[in-house]
Amino acid sequence: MEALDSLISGFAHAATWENLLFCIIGVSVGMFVGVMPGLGPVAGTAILIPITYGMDPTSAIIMLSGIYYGAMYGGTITSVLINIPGEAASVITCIDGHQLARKGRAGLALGVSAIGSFVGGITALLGLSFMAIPLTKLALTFGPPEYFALMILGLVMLIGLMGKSLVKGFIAAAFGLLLSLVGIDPISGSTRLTFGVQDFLGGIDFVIVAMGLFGVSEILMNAEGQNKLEKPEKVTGLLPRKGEWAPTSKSIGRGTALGFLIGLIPGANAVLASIASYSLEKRIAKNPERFGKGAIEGVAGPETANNACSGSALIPLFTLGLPSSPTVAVIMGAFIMHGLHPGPRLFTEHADFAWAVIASMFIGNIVLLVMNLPLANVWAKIALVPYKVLLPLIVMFTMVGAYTVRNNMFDVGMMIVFGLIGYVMKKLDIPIAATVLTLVLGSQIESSLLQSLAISKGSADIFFTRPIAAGLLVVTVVILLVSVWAGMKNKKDMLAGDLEI
Amino acid sequence: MRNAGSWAAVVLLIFSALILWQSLGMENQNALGFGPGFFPFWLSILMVVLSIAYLFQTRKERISIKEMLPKNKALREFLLILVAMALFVLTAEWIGFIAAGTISVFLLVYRAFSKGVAVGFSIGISLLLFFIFVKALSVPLPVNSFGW
Repeated sequence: MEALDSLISGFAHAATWENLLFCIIGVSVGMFVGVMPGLGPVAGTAILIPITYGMDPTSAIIMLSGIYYGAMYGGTITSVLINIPGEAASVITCIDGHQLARKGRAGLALGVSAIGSFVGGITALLGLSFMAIPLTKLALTFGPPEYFALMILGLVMLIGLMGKSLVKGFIAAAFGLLLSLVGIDPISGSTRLTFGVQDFLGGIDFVIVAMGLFGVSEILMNAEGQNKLEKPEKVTGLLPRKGEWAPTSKSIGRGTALGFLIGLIPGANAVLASIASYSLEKRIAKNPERFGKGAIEGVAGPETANNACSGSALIPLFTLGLPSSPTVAVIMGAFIMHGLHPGPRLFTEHADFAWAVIASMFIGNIVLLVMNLPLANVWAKIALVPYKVLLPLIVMFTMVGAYTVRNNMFDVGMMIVFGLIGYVMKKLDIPIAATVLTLVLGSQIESSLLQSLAISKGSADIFFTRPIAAGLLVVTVVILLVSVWAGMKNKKDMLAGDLEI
Repeated sequence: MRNAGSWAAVVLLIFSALILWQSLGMENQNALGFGPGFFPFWLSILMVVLSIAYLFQTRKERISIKEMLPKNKALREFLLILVAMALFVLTAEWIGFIAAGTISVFLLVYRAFSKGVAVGFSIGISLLLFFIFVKALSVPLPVNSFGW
């Protein structure tokens, strides 16, 4: 009941005209980011963070979250109509979705995707609403050793699941941690790792690094291959026929459950959810040979799973302060930028804000359902905006955004440098997500480690004598060993790469 | 040594050594407990170890520098984007946002459109962004002595 009351009060906050407007802007931008093949949700969110500086934190996070889940809906449209995924989680939809479109049933693929995405998204949000308070209460019992162990677990899960190599994952994570140390040490007040550069005294801003590593590197990667877009297929008949409702509903149900569970695991992103759902649907199908030729289950399951996953990925962020995917890490950076720290205290110190954001996501999902069902044709035409028109806009938006962080041209230069670093990291398969995650969590990892050691007078035993911390570290070690085994057996290729980008 | 991974490992190793050297100049312990140098010191040691491990790993996993870098038309596009961005950084505080933005956008589009359209498009985008940020969002942008 407590959750329901809080959610109702959240709706009251989210339904103000200002928050509704930013929710609609957010999901519309998210749809745009999702449909445009040259722009992913991480880059889109990172690039647009600076325009939220002057905004009220609630409106800002409502808008940025809208971009995140809106992109998951939008990516489907181009996958189905022109066989080019707007974002990585929709890659799998190209297989059967485009085949359906070629048979003149594009409307069915888009209709089922929209319904599945809506069901998956809303179920995940209900999970977030009802799990938030119990998880928060549990997390409030955590001290510095438990938090340190939890962050290390999240980090190891992310590194273990992403990228082909553990070494590269740990390099990326250590690099992010080092970046988080630049500037003035908050405890002693002394300067660290500034190399005498005055502009480093305030530290390296998270937004600059995220915009460079994700945004600029993506712009540079796009310079190598710009897709020529074909004319989209016509959209008619959005709902399944009589005999198609039962298999579609079952796939949506399975996709919801699978995506929801996968979203709770740090590092297991929406791409993994859609791939796992597709494999499941194919495996249990009576006629698996239909897959690849326009099977509706091959669209319904994965599209539902990736939205359920995106929604449930917010549960560890809101309750434990642990981002589980690159986009969620970027959103966490935005929280911090607005003076809010995700985690258990969010629901005690800023309950109005937390519940307003959650409620806005329910509203946003309804708006997206409307945008996707009757307006699919309009979005398909937007996807045909030539990249040569889009490129200068993205470049200028990125540079203006970087400048506005601290009104400093040095930051714009740093963003370009990080763009080049991100480009090299992508080429060498070094997971950028791990760098961004540790940059966001860096100060918390350091402070929880030092506080733990201070409590135990310098002894590391504290991590092994407290049951929760010890349990979390045991799980960490198990995951690490499994990742090493999987790496040795070459079983990680499917999960490799910063797939959510 | 044409292996891009090996070069990256060496650069990381140098970077880690620099951080290690910097952290040695900081206090490891102080009156408050662990000093500001404690975490960077151990982190840089970890980075050194990881860089060496990566260097060994790259002996098996070869990605040539030639393969990694863009080629022909893609290389031109790649460099043009970087030049356009660098020019903006170097000139915006001196000639103002609209002029610097126009030059950068023109560099990005001059081959895609006719010269007239490219100039119009570049001025249009710069003016549009200037209006959105400065007038609508009240976000300061670099300007020249004329205020634009």
